[in-house]
Amino acid sequence: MATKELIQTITVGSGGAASIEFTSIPQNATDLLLVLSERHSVDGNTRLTFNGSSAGYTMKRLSGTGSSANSNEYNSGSFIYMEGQDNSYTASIFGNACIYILNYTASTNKSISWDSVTENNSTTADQQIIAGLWANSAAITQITLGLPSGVFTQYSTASLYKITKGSGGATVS
Amino acid sequence: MITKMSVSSMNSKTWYRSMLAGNEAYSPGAYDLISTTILGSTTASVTFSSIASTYKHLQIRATMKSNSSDYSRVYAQVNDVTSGSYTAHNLRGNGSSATSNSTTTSATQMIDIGGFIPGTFYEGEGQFSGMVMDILDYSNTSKNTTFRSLSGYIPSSYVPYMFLSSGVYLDTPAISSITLFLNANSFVSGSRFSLYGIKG
Repeated sequence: MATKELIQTITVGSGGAASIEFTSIPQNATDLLLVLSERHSVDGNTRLTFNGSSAGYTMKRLSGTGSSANSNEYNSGSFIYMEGQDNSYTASIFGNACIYILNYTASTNKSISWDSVTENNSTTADQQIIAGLWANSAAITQITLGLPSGVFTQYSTASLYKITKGSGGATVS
Repeated sequence: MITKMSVSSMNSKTWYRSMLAGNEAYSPGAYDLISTTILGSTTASVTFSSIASTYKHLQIRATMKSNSSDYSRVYAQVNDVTSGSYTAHNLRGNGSSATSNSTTTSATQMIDIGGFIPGTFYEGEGQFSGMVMDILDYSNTSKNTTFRSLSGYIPSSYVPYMFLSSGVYLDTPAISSITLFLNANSFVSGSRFSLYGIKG
């Protein structure tokens, strides 16, 4: 039976935080799941990086704005991003996102899937489905969520879980 | 669940520094089933009530079908609040195009939070929809609680739909009940709804 175990929850305190960072990630699981409830002090995107690296990121994104749908890509970038819960959106609402990181200890490039939404008492809000790649064979030991400016506001939370494959099934290769 | 106990720890009278005494460490999982309802008859709504603040996050997994002649839309209300306290948005695709929509602001329920679900029009295909809904930090009274769900169904002969939906309860009380219902008609027998608690 596969298991899902909490590694750590980080809650942003008063004054906010410029980044949310998980370090010394245990290397004894199969996948990672990051669950994010966040809001920004300014308008902008939320950026994901691994191991402090600022190179080798590629992403494809399907997104909605509340009135239109779009798809875009971002190649050979310095991070993977989503539109976050902007400060201009209705007060006290936090975005809701989950990032699934597969085979994070493998010596291959790392794939992720990222579903996220923001909310707003208005027509405009963001819905995003992202496929991402970090072209790096290093095991992931550190995850950083950052912003182009401003801070994650108080009460933003990020929970990191490790998913361990079960022993009852078979892996087909 | 203990999956292994070393025989030596019981019989060898070996002295250990660790309370594990040669056994593998046990770490409790973070994902608990709170409740499951499998409908035995046609039912207008499903409510998870008396939700404790024990967990950090909640997740609802459902497979649904309606007794409407066509598809139905899944709505949600929380804490029995039926006044204008919700707003919602969605991104939907049908296999050939994508659109994004929002509900009227301050609506009386979160609309399309579970996407569209098939009705009797699809009877011959036995088609139920699937939905996974995440509700983060649901007991934090400094936040309006935001819902996110991914849902869809793929009939072989009719238009399929997939949804990434969001909704928010525009108030800060902890979420203690969640009701799912349809814009018209009811869920049919065999529809299943499971609520999970996620530690954090």
